[in-house]
Amino acid sequence: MVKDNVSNTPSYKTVDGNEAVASVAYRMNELFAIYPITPSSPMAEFCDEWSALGRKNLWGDVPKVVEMQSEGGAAGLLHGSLQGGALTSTFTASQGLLLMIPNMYKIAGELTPCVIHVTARTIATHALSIFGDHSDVMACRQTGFAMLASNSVQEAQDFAAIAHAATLRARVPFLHFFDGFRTSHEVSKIVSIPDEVLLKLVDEDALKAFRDRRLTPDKPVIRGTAQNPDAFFQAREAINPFYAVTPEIVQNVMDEFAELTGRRYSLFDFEGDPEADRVIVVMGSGAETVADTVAALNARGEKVGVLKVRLYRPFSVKDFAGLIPATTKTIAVLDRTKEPGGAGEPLYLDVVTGLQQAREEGWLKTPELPRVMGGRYGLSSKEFTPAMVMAIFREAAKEKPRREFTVGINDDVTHLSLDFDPTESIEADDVRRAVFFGLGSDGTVGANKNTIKIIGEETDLAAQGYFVYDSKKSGAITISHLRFGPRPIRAPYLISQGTSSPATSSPSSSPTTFSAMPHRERHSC
Amino acid sequence: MSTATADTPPSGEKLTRKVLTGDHPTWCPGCGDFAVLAAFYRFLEQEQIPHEKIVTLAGIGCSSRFPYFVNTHGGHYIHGRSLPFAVGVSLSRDDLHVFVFGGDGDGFSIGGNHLDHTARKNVNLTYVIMDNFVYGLTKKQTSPTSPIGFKSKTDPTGAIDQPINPMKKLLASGATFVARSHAAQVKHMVEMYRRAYHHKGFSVVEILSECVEFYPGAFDAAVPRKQGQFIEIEEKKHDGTPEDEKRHDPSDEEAAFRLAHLEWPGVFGVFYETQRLTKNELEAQLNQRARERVKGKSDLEILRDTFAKMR
Repeated sequence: MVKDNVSNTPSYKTVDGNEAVASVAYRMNELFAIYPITPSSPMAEFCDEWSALGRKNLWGDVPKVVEMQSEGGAAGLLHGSLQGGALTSTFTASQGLLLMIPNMYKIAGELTPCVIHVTARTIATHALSIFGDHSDVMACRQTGFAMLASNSVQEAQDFAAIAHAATLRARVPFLHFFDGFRTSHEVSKIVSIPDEVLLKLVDEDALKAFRDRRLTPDKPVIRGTAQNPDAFFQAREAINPFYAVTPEIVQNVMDEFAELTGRRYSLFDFEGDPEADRVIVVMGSGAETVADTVAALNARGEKVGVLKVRLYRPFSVKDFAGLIPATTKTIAVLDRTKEPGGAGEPLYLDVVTGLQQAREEGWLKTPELPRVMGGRYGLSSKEFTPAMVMAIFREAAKEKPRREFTVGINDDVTHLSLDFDPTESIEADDVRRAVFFGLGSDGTVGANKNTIKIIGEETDLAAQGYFVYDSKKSGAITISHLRFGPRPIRAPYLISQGTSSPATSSPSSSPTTFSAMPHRERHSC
Repeated sequence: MSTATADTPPSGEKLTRKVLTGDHPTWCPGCGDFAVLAAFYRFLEQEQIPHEKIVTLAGIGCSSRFPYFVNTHGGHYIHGRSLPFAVGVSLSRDDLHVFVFGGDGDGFSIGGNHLDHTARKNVNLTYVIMDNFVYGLTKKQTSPTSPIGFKSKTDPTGAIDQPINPMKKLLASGATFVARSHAAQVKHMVEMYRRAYHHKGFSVVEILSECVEFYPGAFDAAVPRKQGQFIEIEEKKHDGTPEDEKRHDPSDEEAAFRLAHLEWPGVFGVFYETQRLTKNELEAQLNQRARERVKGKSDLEILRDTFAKMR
């Protein structure tokens, strides 16, 4: 279906993750069923604004946006609209995603293609938090949705397109997720995707098949029936072939995408020394931090690597195992979630199981089963920095590394946290870094957003902006973190040292993290 | 389960605003919720409820920051589910005074279902709905009380769906005390809190509380200093005078519905109040009847009797 490369001259735009995803979702759908929840709300708002302006999707229609009374309502409308034959999507996070779970089982169980875009956010446990981690998406592993993880603003846009294209072909619905705030609200210079690329990704036969399954009086059907022990089990197992081919379908779409745009992705991607003895397995924005740190460590001669998980469900063990270097001795799996009482966190469990299966099947290149460590990081948007990645690799190099650890906090209760040296930094010399402090409503954030957009759109430099402020901005402190430089910026963490400050001073007393701010809780829902 | 604590004597500490003040409120300057909070402090000071018997709960939304600002037992619960949580507290601790705060989103959309059932079951607690006609915390989306034509981020060309009439919904749901107030009327709010608190069963007060950021001026029509009219419900005095004929009888459900139908901004005060057994009492009766059936025997005695029958 790929005819020619249509985008020889890339067009850049400087947007945040939410806008990047919404721009794709809007063009590839006809209806959005929504309910506002932080940090996903802007995606729905962009769609609503464009709809009000009469902007058209790929097929020349103006998509509709319908706000419901809760995410339960939005998920129901999503399912109903899909049954009606309309390409439909939604945006959500956290408790909102939890409210969609009953419908998600139904949507997947009936093989209804669609994409739910999720700004991965903490679920309220001992406390509510609007910030980012994977506790919400990890609660959906069992629903039958395929799960695709984006690590940056560019990837969030690209994977939105890949997810919408793949779901039509696979019939398996997709949950596309990226980190709340860190990716959803980071302003970054990215290459945009033109309409013709999106159109080429849509398999017209698959689209027609989807339309043909719609409810119509010409060929009435009943769906969502009740079944008893005589039929349920075998009918449920009949879904297996669809999941078996989904990884291949996703890889095909990724390959077509690469031909059209030059940006190549795989179900899993390995970066680093091909003879690495230590490998970190990770997904989400933290993977960017690890990859950037791995590059710096490789330059120092360290044999380390990172394996980024893109398609988390269905988990293709063979593809995963094929990327583990034969020299690997220790694997550290990082989970941005916590499952108290489990044998380990979700990604860790998949890796341990996958390695065992791969060994039995002969897919593993290592002579011995590598040792596997499981670590938790970044809950509720806790900072995750190169210094922490280095601490993980140091631990992994030990004769007997810890099986279970955390990083980024000082755990003085159960002593699971790794020590790290906050002064360790890999910020490149040619990247300008600046931190601006302001008071809410004084224009600092707006001015800095403009600065980043001007640098991104008017120069050849790559640019990144991240803004830390209260949702009730007036009167509260605002902190703008700006980076720009000649190469793509892969630093999804706050700036601890501006480029003009002496590099030797300790950033541990840096006032740039939110916890160091005056007591004023960010309040949002 | 909780009888040990139910007998705890009051601490004797005098409830003052200082004692009751928790965190400094983080609402936007000028928010109506400040007045709702100030009135709540004043009501608690007047009533002198034992400090340790007060529970302040909330769901999600700007209004739901309330428990942080009141120095009592508190809970910040999850989206739309503050009422079932509060029902649990009320039924397990009959001695506590449970106040739940929420907004139009928590009350009428994501938690709408729970509101209906808490009301019809007449659970002993007080629910305060700080209605601002907009989702303020997520920065201006259409809420279930946003009027038709209201322009928001989810309705850039104006809301098209019929909004909820809170008074009609509350009356229809079977609430045994339904009142309405306005955040610009502190004395009135205090009075409504007082009446709601002394009502046995589920009492609910809707307070129009302006969101100055995302729906400024929404309730000006009921603010006298902004050329609006704050019309209070005159309640029947049962004095036999001809003017009393026109006054409102809060026990008259049909009359309450007629008030709920009045043109915006309508009237303020107690729309409806009736007495019905509370869920708490009904549950207690169930227990009582079960005890009567076994004539107050101990578990061991019941067991012995059962074995005796089996011989």
